[in-house]
Amino acid sequence: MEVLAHGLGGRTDLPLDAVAAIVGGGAAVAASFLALTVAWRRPRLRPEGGRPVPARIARALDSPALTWAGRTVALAAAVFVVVVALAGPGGEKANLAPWALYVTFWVGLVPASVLLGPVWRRVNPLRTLHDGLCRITRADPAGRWPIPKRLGYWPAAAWLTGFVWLELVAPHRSDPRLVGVLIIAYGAVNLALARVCGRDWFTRGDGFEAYSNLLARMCPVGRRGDGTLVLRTPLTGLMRVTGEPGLVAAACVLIGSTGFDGITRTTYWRDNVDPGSLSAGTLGLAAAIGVVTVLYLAGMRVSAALTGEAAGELPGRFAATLLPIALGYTVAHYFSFFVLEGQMTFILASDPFGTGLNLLGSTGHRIDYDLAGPTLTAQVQVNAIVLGHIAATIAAHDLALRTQPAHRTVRGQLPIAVVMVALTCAGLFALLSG
Amino acid sequence: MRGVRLRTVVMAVAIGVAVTLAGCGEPAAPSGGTGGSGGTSGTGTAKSAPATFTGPSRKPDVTVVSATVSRGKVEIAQNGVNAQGRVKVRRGATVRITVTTDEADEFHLHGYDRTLKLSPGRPGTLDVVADKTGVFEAELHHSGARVFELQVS
Repeated sequence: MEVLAHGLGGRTDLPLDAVAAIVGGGAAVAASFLALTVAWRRPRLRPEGGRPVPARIARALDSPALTWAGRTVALAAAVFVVVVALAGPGGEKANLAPWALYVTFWVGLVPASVLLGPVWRRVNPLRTLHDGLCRITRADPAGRWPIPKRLGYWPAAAWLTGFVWLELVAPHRSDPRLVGVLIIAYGAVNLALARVCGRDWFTRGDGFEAYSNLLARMCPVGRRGDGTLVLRTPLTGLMRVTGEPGLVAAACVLIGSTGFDGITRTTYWRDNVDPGSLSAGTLGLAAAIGVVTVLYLAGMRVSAALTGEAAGELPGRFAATLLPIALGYTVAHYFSFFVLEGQMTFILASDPFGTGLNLLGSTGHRIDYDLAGPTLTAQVQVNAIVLGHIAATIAAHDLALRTQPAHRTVRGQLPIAVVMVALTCAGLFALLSG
Repeated sequence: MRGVRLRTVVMAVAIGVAVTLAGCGEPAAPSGGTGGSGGTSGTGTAKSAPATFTGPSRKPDVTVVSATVSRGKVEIAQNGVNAQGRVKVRRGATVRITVTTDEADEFHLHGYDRTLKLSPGRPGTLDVVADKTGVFEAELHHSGARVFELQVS
């Protein structure tokens, strides 16, 4: 049985000088909080702000032709991956499916969504299939039963938990056949649910689309309330005053799972835990997600006590400010994985069925490890974690100025800042130490 | 704020570019060698004759790693000294790995993708030129035991 970090590859990044990174990172976040309390005294991130994208460019970006091109490519790629998963060579060394799922798609969704916006919503093959099925069966794409509002991001949080467990814990997770069967099963379940609840199911019910939509809130290109495409400050999309059910859970799953993957790479874990143990992995993953959740909720509770606000409202309201942290962890942890192991998808796509083809001229090539050397990787890691927390601190601060009594914001923010510094240090420790 | 934003954007763009560049990896080494730099010798003990222009990776910097696996328990020594779990070497070092198991198995060093067939009780040796940085897992394919991790920095 193969027991590999991130489910694939067998290579991980070098550990960093943990003490220097942890002290520096924690100090940077603490300093930025202090700077904010002095220099940022009124809300600056305006949700309705932003500079409209020139009309001609906006029209081109919104054109149905582009949507259909994207949908065609995404559907074809998905079908191709499933066919190769089931009919291609056995084992992840020769079959591109596990690489396509765990690296190209799962990790690639992050830069795509943060840079380009909610791209998966636009090209999601499940939406395309749903449209097609509704047309063939003459069913109403809006479904029969509306989705209950209080469900929110809970289905997405559940799917994401399932996926990270598959990626990080499940035995035989790199087996192409298993990957193929799971993609089909995931599609079938979500299509059935969309049949009942309508196409809006995908927005928050499809874990991957929900993930992409959440990341897209940090995109510098976004939509104003009236639908206008605007260029905006990247954190603007996080400024929503009302909480959404399940968003805390989704964010904590993302942060906790990345942290857990980092912890399993430490020599401490390797020396004390059987890496193939299903129960140790499952418990460890659950514990990591639990610790992040408890830390966040505790910080919010103390904050509510200090500002005199209702304790029940705060966690939901500030949940979106966890997203930059999740993004920072993901970039730190998966950057080299994406750049290095991500090459495998394209190397193997050159001869997808192991028949001796050389479609892309890369059959038999090996991963070029020099594309992300140790220095670059280390710099990206430390910067991603620290900047992610600073961005989260800024977003939380701005949101607090918007919603909390003016004379109490600093006091109310202190617990959040403490949590941020703690998470920074823990993140640097878990992700980067040897 | 502006600086933060700019750096984040620059970083994100860099990732996108790197991914585009990642393209299709590097061509395989021509003659069955796995190391790309051509410095990796084959399975077994015989070393190929030293080439004339192989550069710094031919320094006599050899790390000897010996691993014994019996009844699922792993013992490792690096240059004769007991090592715990992780073997640390410098990039460019030659690592001579000797593995002895009590059952027939296959040793596999990930990333470098080197394998070694093992018969019960008979030491097998593998020479690897550590030319890629990172932490790489070494395991036994059949029993699934993790033998050690090779950390190249």
